[in-house]
Amino acid sequence: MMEPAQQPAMVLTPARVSQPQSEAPASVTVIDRTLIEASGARELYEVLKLVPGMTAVKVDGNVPSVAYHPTQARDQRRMLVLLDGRSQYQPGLSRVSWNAMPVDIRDVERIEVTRGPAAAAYGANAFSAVINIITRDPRDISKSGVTVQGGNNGIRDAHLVGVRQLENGALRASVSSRGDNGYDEPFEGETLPDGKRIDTLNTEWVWDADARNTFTVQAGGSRSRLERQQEAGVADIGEYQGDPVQKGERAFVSLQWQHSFSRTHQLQVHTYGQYNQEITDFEVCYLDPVTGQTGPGGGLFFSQELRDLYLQNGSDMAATFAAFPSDADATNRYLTLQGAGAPFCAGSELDIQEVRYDLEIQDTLQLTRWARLVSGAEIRHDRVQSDSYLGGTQDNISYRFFGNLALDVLDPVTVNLGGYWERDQISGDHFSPRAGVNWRVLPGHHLRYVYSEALRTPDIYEERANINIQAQTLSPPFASNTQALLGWAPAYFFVTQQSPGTFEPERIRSWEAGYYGQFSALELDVRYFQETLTDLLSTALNPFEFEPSNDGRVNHQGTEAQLSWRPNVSHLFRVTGSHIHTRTNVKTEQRLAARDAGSALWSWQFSPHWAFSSAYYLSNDYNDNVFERADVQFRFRHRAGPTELEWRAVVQHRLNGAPVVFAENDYQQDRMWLGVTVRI
Amino acid sequence: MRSQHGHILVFLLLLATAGGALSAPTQTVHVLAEPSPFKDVFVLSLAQDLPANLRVVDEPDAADLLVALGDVAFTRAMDHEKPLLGVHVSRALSEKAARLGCQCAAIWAGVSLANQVQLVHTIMPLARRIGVVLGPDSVWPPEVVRGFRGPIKLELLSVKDTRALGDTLRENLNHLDAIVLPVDDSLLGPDAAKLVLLTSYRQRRPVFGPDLTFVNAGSVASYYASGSDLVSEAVQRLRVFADTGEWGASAFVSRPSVVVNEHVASSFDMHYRESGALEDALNNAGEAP
Repeated sequence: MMEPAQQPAMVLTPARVSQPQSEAPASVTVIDRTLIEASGARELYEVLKLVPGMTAVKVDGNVPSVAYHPTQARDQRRMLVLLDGRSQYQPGLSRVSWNAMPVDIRDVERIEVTRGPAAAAYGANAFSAVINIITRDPRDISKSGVTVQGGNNGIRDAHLVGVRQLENGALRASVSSRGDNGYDEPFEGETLPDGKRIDTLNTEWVWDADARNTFTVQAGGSRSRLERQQEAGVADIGEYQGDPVQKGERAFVSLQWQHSFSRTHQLQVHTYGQYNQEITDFEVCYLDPVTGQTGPGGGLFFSQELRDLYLQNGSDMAATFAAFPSDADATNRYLTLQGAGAPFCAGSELDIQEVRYDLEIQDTLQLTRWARLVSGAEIRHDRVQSDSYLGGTQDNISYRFFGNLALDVLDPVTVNLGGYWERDQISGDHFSPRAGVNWRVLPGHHLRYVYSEALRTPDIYEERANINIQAQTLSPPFASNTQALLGWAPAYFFVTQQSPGTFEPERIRSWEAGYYGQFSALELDVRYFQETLTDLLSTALNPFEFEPSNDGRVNHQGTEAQLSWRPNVSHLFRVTGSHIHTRTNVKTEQRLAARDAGSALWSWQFSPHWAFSSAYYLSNDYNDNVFERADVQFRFRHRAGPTELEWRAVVQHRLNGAPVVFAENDYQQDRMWLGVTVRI
Repeated sequence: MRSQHGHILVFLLLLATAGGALSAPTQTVHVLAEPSPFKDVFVLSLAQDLPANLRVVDEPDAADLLVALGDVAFTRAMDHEKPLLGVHVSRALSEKAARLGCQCAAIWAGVSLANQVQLVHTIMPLARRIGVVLGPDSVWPPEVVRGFRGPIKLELLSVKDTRALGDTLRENLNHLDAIVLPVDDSLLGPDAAKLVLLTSYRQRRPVFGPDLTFVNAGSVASYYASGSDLVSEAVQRLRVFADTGEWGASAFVSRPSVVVNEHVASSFDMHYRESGALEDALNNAGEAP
């Protein structure tokens, strides 16, 4: 007899418990490997276009923005992403870096997306949705393989996976490299730097110690090099000596122990540590504020006196420049700088290091035949070090307790009750509840109602920001005579910001009524929802614009549907759609909120060796720009002795001339690439 | 004239009486099997359900017909060179016996592939491609799988032995919706059963068949030949033989039972999660595809 922990689960994510999709207290979208392959996606984030209500586009050059019921264009703050149970939500700047995620799309077995707040199961920041990425279990991979692919726009990808089946387990190691040149250029006659190169390592070892104990060890990391565009605020007062480059490094190690006490009682202990570092270097020769030309007067921007003047003027740049001619200390500094006789150039960096240690214990107990309880506790230590954003190191330790109870009170009715209590050093105590009812009306037809509340706690940057951009390198003679020429050493950019540290968590209340059914060859999920987001930190919090406010509000109301149809073994049709009305008191919270969005995918295996798939994506609109694209893929699989080869050709074709969200994201030329995978 | 008619009627009456007496002599049946509680129940049930012209006896030498439970008993019974009905006998053994020219037939162990596919289609209507694992001694020959026509495409997963099971599943599960297992004692021992279930369920592919034991161990559901199914089928076969002197072709039980693992069926969101509801649905569905 199989242990319950080994028994199948259709979805794992919504309530942390193995349960059929029809009984889950949320709408769930599952993207399995078949769908991932049919989509033709090169990068992991792209397949999330297949989720109704989800936006997955590169908003900021080469940085993907993935958000469910999105609001702000560059916003990654309001959704939790799990990779094999490890939170990819980075506390330093409240973001999820899809580029640096240490996994390749070919290593992914399945993605479960819980659409709707799930803080009752995962705590703060499981705000609008949870994306749970599950990599391939090495026990389920039969062959090692290598993939190479290349195409236009500098597409150069490679992936190597090695697998070894052991007596009581298996081992997998994957390395990959991918890169491209980003959006099309030139834009308004200029080259926009948005190319990238990302290398990843992902390893997993599974050991079935005995029938009741399984250990899983995972380790890996990534290295990224992203070309970044020049910061407009800096470009206004200086000349970049080269485009900025963001270099990232990430590493993780994870240990999981699953123990089965009995058929009705299981325990899981999961601990992991992860490290992330990102450094963006840039070197600028600053313009003399009087002449507008590069010169020694540019050193004023890194002078003690201009910093003082900036603070006296309430951190208002325009007021600072207006006051400069009449400020004696600043003008004296300017005159002193003229004696340097050489242009002022400074090299700076935006740096951040984030370390997380996490220990979680989860207990699953079948209380009775009709009641099952998942409960647990978690302790997490986040440490963020950043001279430029925080002026040092900040720590946040959080303690969490959670419980989810699934009750089959009457045979066709399942009730899910869940709650998550947490305390962290920055935001204090919070509780997130959820209740759901699922009613099996007929075999294969289910109705559900779910109410949930969630919150997003302010990140360490939002609460502890202390922005100071230091001149790491200086041109001569400023390097050797910093104190005398700039008034302080080391020298800092005159702009500085400090968070008031009084933010309240962002909150969401959500309810949905939904239907999930399987009939004939169709699988259909439909939901109507209303979401109220309050206390939003909607305004800019960057070095040049820092407007702390908790006053943002957003209301989402709409309908989503996903439909799969398999008329026969050769064809799969899949359609998703969403229609959302978004109302807000802050205009920027609506930039990425598309009123109508959808996807359609058709996969056709038209011979034992050949397969065709095509996808269509529409979002109307992002920031007044309609996104419309069609993808086509052909695959050819054959054997050559003991080797299996798979060739694939993919074309992505934009169907309109609009840019992606912002004007500089120009995408006029089709993307196309050819790849081959060899499995041995 | 009337007198002639009367003679004819008396003659026909005598003929009919004599014919009835000649066509229905009481025949004796002996059941061979390894000693087990199942044998005892089987013999008891058989004795109760047999028609009046058939009677169970304790000694094989005193029997006109033999019934053998299982492969071992069937092999042993062939030495008696009497009309023999094998019950729960492997298909390979019964076909070998037929080639040797025995006056025998068998109710094979397991159920027909068509039955199992019908079950999958009913409980999992979205399934389109099903893998059928077959070893050299499985009850379904590869031709049955290759020649299957219906709303579901069957994919033959041939394995030489237990060691090949893991790789075969790893290579094929991704493009299959479910797995159907045959009765095959040599291929699907306890370790292999665990391997199949764990490997399939890690990839969320349901496993169907082959019998009650497997369902209890974790497969979703199965048609299976219960003890009473076997008794009913055996009684039917014996009755036909008693009437015609022919066994008919060896085959699976014609009306097998259904069992569902409620927990696993619920986990997989199956349309029917308990045996009675599934049985009703199958009855409504009618003939196997």
